[in-house]
Amino acid sequence: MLQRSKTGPQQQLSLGRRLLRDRVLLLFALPGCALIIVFHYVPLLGNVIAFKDYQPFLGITSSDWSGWENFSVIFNGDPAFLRALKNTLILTCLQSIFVFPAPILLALLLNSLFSERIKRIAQSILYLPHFMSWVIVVALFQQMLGGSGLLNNYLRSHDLATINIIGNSELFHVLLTSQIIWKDTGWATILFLAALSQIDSQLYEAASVDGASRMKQLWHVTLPGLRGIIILLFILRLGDSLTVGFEQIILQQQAVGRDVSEVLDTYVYNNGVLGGAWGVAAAVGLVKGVVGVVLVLTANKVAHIFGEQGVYQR
Amino acid sequence: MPVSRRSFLGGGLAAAAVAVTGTPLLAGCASDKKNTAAANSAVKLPTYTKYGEIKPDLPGTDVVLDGFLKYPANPVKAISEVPGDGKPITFMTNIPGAIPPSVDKNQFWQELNKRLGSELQISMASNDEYNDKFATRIAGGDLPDILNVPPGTPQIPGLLKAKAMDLTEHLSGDAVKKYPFLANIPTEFWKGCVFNGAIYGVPVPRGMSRTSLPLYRTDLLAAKGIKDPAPKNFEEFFDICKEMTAAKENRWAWTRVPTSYIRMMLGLPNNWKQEGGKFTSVFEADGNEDALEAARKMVAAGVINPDTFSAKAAARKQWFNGGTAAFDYDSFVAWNQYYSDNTAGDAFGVNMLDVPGFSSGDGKVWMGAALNNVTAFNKSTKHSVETLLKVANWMAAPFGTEEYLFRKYGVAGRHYTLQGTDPVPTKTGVVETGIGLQYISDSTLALYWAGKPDVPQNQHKIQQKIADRLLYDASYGLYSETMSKQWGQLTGVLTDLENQIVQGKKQVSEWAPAVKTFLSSGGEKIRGELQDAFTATGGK
Repeated sequence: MLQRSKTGPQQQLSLGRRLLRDRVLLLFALPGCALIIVFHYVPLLGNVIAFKDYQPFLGITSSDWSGWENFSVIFNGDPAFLRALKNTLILTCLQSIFVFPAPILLALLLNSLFSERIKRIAQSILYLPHFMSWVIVVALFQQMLGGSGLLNNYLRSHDLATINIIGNSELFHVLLTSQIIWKDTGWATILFLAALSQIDSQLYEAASVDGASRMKQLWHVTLPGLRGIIILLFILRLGDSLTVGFEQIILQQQAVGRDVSEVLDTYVYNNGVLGGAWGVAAAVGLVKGVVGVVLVLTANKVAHIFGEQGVYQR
Repeated sequence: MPVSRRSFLGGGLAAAAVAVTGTPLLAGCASDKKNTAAANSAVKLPTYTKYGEIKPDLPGTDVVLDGFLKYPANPVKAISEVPGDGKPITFMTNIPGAIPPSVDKNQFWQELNKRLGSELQISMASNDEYNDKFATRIAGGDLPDILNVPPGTPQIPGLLKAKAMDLTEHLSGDAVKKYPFLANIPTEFWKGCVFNGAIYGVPVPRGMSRTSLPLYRTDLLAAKGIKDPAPKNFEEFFDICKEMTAAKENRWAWTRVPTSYIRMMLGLPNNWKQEGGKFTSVFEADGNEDALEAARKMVAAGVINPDTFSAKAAARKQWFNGGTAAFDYDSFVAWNQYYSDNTAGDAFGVNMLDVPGFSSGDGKVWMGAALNNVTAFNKSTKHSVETLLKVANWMAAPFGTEEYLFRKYGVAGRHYTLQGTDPVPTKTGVVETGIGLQYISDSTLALYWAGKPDVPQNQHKIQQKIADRLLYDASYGLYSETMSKQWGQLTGVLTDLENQIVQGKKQVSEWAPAVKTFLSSGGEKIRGELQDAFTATGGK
C-alpha cells in the first residue's frame, strides 16, 4: 500500500496528515484488525509448544523446552506421519484437479443460460448445500448411499447386489472429493460469475463479427477475462492446499480406518487433542503452516514473473 | 510452599505416623511422592464398611450385585446434614443420554440444588465428545471444582498432581468413616484412584455392572420362536444370528460385530493377563485369528447392520430400540438404559446371552472395567475439601435410601409415579434426571427396575452363571507410563486393522505382523512396565 502510494498525488502528505485524512476509514477497519490480531496472530504465539514437552496441566510457561525433538516424527519419517502426509497429498491432488475447476465450469454453464429467471433459480439451488454443516452432509450421504441407506435398500428389496460406497476404504478419497464438489461448487461460482459479468460484451460482439464460434469466444474472450481471478484463487487455494477437510474426514474416519483417512489435520487432532502428544501435533501443524506460506509466496512470485497480479501487487 | 491449615495438619499427621510406626507414611506429604508402583501400593486404602441398613431380595456376593424386586417402603433418610456450603459448586462431566433441560427449566435440578445446599453448576458433554472437551478444558486451565477424569486420560498422575487435591489424609484407612457412603464403596475400586503415592480422587465404581455380553430383544426372538437361547458353540450362535436377519425388511441380527464376544468364547485375556508375573495382552494371545475369521464370516453372511462401521454408539442404541437389530453387545448398565429409552411399548424385553466355548464347553467372561471415572477435586477450589467429600458422599448413598430415590428418580408426582413402593419414571423424569450426578460418585449398582421385578431377576441369574468364569484385567491399578501415553494410538492401529479384516478388506494373516509392530513400537515396553509394577507391588 505504502509503495503504491508513491505514485499517487498523496506522496507529499506526511503520515500524520494521511492518517488524519483517512481517519473514518481507519476507524472502520479497526474492529476487523482487532479481530485478526486477537484471534489469528495472538494464538500463533501458542506454536511455541512445538518446541516444548507441553503438558496441558502445567501450561505453556511451565512446560520444559525440548528443542527440535517434537519434529523428529517429520525428520525421521514416523510411519503414522508419513501415512497422513501421503493421504493429504493424494487429496490435495484430487482436489486441485477435480474440485478447483468445477466451479469455473459451472459458472460458464450458468453464464450461458439465457433466461435470467432459470439462472437465478439454478443458482439458489446450487448455493444451498454450502450452508449445510458437514455433519448434515455426511449424514445425508449416509442415508442415501449407506449400507442400509436408500439406494441399497432399493437394491436389496429388488434382489439386486448392494453397493458398498460409504465405509469402503477403496472409494474413500473419491467419496470425499465428490462430497466437496456437491457441497461447495455452487457457492464457489459466485466469484467467477461476478468476474464473468465484468467482461465487456462488446468483446463478444467484436469476436462474433470476426466470425468466432462459441468455443472460440470462450477461449479468446471469456477465459482471458477470468484469468486474473482464477490465478488469484489458485494461489490462495495453494496456501491451504494441505488443508483437505478436517471435520468431513473425522466424521467418516471410523468406518474406513486411518490407513486411507488419516490426513495431517486429523493426525494433529488424534495425536494432540486426543492422544496427549500436543508438542508433536503442534510441530506437524507448524510445518504444515510453513509449507502453506512457502507455496503461496512461490506461486505469487511465479504469477508475477508471468506478468499477472497475483495476490498482491509488487 | 506456604503452610496452609491442611498441609500443616498433614505434616503433623505424618509426623505422628512416623512416631507411631517408625516409617514415614503417606498422609499429607504425599504430594512429593513419585508415581511408583511401590509408593502406590503402600497407600492405605479406605476401609470398606458395608452399609447394612438395606437387605437385598436377591443377595449378591463380592462379584454378583445385590438385586431388589421392590423399592423399600419408607426409604431411610440416611444423611441428615446438608452437604453444601451455600456457594455454587462447579462440575464437569459426560452424560450418556440426551442433553437435559437447563437448570431454569429443570425442576429436578432446582430441587437438587435445594437439597445440596449449594447450587451445582454442571458443564456437560455427550459421551462421544467428552474426551475432546476434557482435553481442551485442561489445556485452557479452566477447571471446575469437581472433575470427572476418564481412566484413559493420558498422563493422569502428572495431571492430578498439578491440578487435583491429595485426599489421602481424608480417606485413607479409617478416615473414610467420616463419609459412610464412600466407605461403602469396596476397597478394590479405590485402587484405581491412587497415583503419586496418594489418593487423588473418589471412584465411580462399575466392575460387574460394566461387564458386557450380548443383550438381546426377547420379544423379537420370541417372534421367531426362539425362547431362552443358549447356543452351545459359535456355530449355534451364528445360526441364531442368521435366523434373526431379514435384510430385505431392514432387519439385522446385530448392531455391531461381536468380536469381543467371540474372543470370550475363545477364552482370550481381558485386556492384559498375568501368569506367574508375565503379562500377555489380548492382541497377542492365541486365538485372535480364529476370532477374526469368525467375525469375518458373520459380516460376510450379512447378519450385522451394514452401517455399523460408520455408526456411533447412539445410532446403535436406536437400532436396538427400534428393532432394526436384535442383538447388541453391552453391559448391565446399558440393559437398564434400554428399558428407560424403550419406545417399543410393553412387549419390549431384554435379556443377556451367556458365553459358550467356541467349539464346546464354556467360554470366559471379561469382568467390566472397575471404574467409570475417577472424580478429582480442583486444587484451587474455594470450597473446603470436606464440603466436596460430603457432596460425593451424598451422591454415593446406596439403593434403598431416600437420597438414592431422589437422585435417580426425582420427585414423586413430577418425575415418577408410585406403583406400590416402586417409583416408575415419567417421561419428564427420564429427561430431567439425566444430568450426570452418577459421575460425581456412586454406590455400586443395585439390580433393580421399577415395576419390572423380572429384570433384576434375569440380571441376577446371569451374573450368578458367569461369576466363576470371570477374567480380570491384570493391568488395573498398575501404572505404565508408556501405556498412559501411547495406548490409544497403539490399539487404534489394531482396531482399524480389525475393522478392515472383518469387512474383508484385509487378510486375517495381516494380524500377526501388525501385532509384532504393536509390540515393537510400545507393546513390549508396556509389558515391561506392567511387569515391573506388578513385581514392585508384590503381586497385590
